[in-house]
Amino acid sequence: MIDLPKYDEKQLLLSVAHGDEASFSQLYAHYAPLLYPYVLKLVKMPALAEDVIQDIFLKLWEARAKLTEVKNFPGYLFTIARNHTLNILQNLTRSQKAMASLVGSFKEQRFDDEVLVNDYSQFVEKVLQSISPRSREIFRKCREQGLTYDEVAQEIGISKNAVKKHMVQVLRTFKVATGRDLGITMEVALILLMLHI
Amino acid sequence: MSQKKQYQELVRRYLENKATDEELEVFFHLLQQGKLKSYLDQALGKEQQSLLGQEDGHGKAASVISLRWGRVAAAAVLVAGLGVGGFWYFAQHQKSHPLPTSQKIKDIQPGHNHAILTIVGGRHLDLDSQSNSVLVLQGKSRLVRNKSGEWVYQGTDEPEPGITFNVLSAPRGGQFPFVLEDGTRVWLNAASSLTFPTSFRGSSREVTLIGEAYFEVAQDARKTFVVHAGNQGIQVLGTAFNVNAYPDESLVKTTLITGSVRLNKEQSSFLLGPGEIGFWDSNGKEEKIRDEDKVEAAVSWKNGYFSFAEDDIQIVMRQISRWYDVEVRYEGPITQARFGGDIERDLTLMQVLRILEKSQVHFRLEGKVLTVLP
Repeated sequence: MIDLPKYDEKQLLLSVAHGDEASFSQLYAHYAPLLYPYVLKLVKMPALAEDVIQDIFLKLWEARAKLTEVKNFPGYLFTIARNHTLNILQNLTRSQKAMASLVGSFKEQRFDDEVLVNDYSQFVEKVLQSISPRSREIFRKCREQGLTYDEVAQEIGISKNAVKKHMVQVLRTFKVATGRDLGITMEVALILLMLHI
Repeated sequence: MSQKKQYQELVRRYLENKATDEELEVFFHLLQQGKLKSYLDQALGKEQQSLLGQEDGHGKAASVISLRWGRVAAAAVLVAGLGVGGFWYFAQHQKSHPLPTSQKIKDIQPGHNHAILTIVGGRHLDLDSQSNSVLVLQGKSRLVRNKSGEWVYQGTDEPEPGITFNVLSAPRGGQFPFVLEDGTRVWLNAASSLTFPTSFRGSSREVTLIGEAYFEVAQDARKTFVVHAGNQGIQVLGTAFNVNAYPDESLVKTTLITGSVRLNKEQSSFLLGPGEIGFWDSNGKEEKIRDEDKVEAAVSWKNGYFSFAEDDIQIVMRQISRWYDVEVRYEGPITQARFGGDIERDLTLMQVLRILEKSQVHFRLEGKVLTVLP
């Protein structure tokens, strides 16, 4: 019989709480694809969404001792994700560069298939008129500028250090191959990571 | 439209990538002023529920699965002959209070074939509204609509950076037939999602299911096919089977039609033969059922009808809730009636409720909230 990777969440959470990296990576492999569309809906930029997810899992790892008390893990994880992503989005609005990049991504993904209710269009128009000419000018610039993601990441303070990238890479590699030796690589990545925090 | 509705609409159109440039400007202006926080919270809460397939506590009665297969002694009464086979119910007392037709209640149309594919790079493709027959995804991967109208995924062999999974999600009120790159056919039921790699590399083909799907796995003796669902792994060589793993159904049930599959969970593992339903019961005990009616009922959704076999009202209502995208609540004592039989899935919600009302149960529909009354 082939030995399958088993997914037992309760047991996993317990192991993670006790610092087991392999279990943590299993948890990651299970939930990252679920969180991704959720986070992306808010931040629109794929690369940023991936980073935000890394941050969310870092928070989870740092607070792993609490996992033993968590009753509804998906709910807990999504709450962390929601709060963190909303913060990021809020910070993003303070930077013209970040906004430019977000608006650019938004335009690439735009669906344009709905007829607007008159009432709603009037509301949009009314708020538009209340925005200062200076702010509107800035926003218009945002729409026209294509900016790199790296600039954006720096600007809103998402950590993008090499170690983290390394960890992401390890986790991704795991997700593609169903490798068995993951425990070791993850361990190395996480130890490196801890040294740099 | 109230201001609250306008804010909700703005947030929705932002999240769904539908906002115009002007709306984006308005969105960020209001966001900066902190006026959208609660609307975003609310919208994301709903999103989370649909991603996790959770309902908000209603109808989550713990007793749902205490039903012992094949031991429910009840009389079957034929109620209404409707196309596919007529609807039966098991009930000791009958009352007949048809839904008040005089009241102006807005009927709700059934679900339809609809899914969103989220691919590498975060693009969302609404497969329902695509008029193209070939979609270029990333690298060499393609999505092609074949002659019979099915979407077929064609993977790429090139290693690529970034997250290497695609997610196919059928929303509430949607279902979706789909062909994976290895030729495996997947029918995804409403409120379900399937995560699969951009290409099946390595020694096995692994996918993760939330919700319900029917699989016809293409034979490949060198690469086992594995479905991860809940905390189980279902390991396959080439076969047809249904997996029901909705987070709000307390058991993950695998129904095998042909071939053989092995179910794995923690340290335990067992084989399933054709015509068998396998699961671990709430005490963690292995269970195998051979019951033609149950097997038929488990795969009926794929063939276009709801089918019940001595199921209680909550099981019935959860299916209705997913397919018609309504929220189900309960008022008063919950009926103990058992329901059996078939109802076509292309009926409107009202038509379905009228059939159910022939049993000792009644409904009130207000917008998208459906209340079950004794």
